[in-house]
Amino acid sequence: MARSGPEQANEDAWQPSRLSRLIESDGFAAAVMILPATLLLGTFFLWPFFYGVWLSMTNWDGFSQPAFIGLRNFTRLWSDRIFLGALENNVIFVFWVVILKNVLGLAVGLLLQRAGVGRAFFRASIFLPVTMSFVAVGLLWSWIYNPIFGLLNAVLDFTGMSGLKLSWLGDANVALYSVIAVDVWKWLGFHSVIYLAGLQALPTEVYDSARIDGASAWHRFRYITVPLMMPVIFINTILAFSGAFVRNFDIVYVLTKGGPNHATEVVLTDMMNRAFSDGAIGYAAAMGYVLFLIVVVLSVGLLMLMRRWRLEV
Amino acid sequence: MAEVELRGIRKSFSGTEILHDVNVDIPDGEFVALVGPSGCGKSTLLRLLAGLDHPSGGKILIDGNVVNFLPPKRRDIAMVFQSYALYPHMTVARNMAFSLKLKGMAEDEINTRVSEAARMLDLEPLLGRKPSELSGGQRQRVAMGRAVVREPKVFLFDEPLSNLDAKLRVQMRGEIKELHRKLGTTIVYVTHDQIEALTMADRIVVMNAGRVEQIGAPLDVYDRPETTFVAGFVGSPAMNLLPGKLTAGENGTFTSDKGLSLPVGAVPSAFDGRPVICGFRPEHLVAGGTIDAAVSVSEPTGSETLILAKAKGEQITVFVRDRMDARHGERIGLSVSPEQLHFFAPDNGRRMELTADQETVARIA
Repeated sequence: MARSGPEQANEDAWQPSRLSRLIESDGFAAAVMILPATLLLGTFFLWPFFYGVWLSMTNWDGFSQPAFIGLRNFTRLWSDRIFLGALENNVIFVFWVVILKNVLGLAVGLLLQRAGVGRAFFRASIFLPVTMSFVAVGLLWSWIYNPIFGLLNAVLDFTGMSGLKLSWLGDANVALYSVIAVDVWKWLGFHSVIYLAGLQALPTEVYDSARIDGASAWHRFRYITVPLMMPVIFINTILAFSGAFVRNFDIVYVLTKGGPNHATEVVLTDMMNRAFSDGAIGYAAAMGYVLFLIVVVLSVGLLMLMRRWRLEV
Repeated sequence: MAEVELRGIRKSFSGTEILHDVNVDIPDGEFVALVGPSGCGKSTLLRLLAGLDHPSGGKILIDGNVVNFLPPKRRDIAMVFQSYALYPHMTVARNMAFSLKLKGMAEDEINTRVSEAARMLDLEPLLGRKPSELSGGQRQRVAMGRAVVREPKVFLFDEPLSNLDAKLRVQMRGEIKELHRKLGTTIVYVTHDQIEALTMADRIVVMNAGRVEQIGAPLDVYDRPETTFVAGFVGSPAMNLLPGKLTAGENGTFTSDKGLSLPVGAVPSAFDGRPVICGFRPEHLVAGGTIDAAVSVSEPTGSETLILAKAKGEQITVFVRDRMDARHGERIGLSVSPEQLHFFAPDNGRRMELTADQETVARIA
């Protein structure tokens, strides 16, 4: 039956096209807004990342045309003594840095929280090294560690502990730990501030309740502070962990350049040497991707472990 | 159970005096409510009693022993906080067992006490849950359970029902009263809600600006407020307080500053022309009298009616225990019995008795 009047008018009424509905949708507006960031991400992260994967499977020297060699770069790594040593140093670096930054960071955070007089001064002082450039830090600590005129050995002399004097950056047995100490010193303020923020967000009445329940200062720390600070501990651990693996190039290069005799060599400094001194860019790229995979696997494992602990506490 | 004495308690923060010479005696097993507006110092007083802070002066005694500088854990007290202060990362059972575990109590004994307290407070199905999985009322009961398992000498409650809705508050009031009845432990209960204080406590301590205004049984304080503050604070709706003057005589009167006149009965000549503040409770005004008032606002609450009226320019509150249809502008006649009138000195707000004895005359002279 033919329709007429208002029914026909309704059917003939203008309907927006699919394209105009798309353009007017919230999703389109959001996509347009994030487009610049997406382009930047693609240009400066995604494209180099995937291009680097390709390079790691070539023998590119930076000048000639790269030739595809499959996984040969990766298989060569497992017999490369210097690379394996650098990886071992990385693991030692990560282990001590994560422990020291968290333990000392929490301790300093607790002290800063209790600080009465001079609180602003102490907070600024502890954060100052974080703002210093790696070059300045390296120069400063090179002088402190200098075996002849350095401050550290001078203090040991002054306090009658000359027997402990060492060539802090020249002795292969201690150089790595000397570099670790500098890294911890530089970043301690950063982690302390995060811990301080976490401590200040803890509910005070819970502590009052614990005092009334008979908890000593140690009990309150062990049974209240640490469990409630778990999310902050997780954050600091992840930050310290990732930093120790992939952001230690500067401090090592400025202080020791990986020496003496590769004693402080880490994967990133080895990569740089292979890429720009030896002209083996493809091989250096393979190193980078192996480090990336190790960090991803360990990070995921750490996150899963921490998630389980957080649920249990 | 224990007797608690607060003698001359003072407390200052950064030179500002918060508590001024507070004296309160709490006999063994009594339920005492500290009631007053926000900022009057009642929570501060409770914290001093708990040992979470130290008094600037005075003495706190529990069972005759001065405990001023004794740490909280050695005072044998338990406290229930306004925000419950449950350990968010522990289950209900662990929350309740925590203090006993710290004491080094045996596992069996801990389990027995926790089970008993859980049964008393209906918490057995919740023992495995964390605080975030509980409702407000359940959390409050866990906080009470955590206090009960310790079998303390004194229970301290710091506005425990403030965060609950009205219906739950009524229910929890009953549960706390029942807890006191079962355990008989001395309770010091802080609240800003005078209804809570009146319905729950054996005695109430009304505080204002760091001072104790009045101590007494709830109905005594209600029937005979000692100051204008207590008169206006205790009782809802608040007492009508009108400044004015007395006229002496066998049939003396009170005349407010705006001209509202009330019969007072016999007023001694010493009080003739004396400025006073006259108080009368809204529920003591009855319909059918010589006070000509015009209705401003009528608020029926179902079975009762609250009326704001103006009589000779004075704003007065009337509370009728009946449903009443009073429209704006309607004129109503009111009266109040002279026995229901209270008088206070305008200079210090203290209660005045209209007697002819020389002491009273000398005091007001």
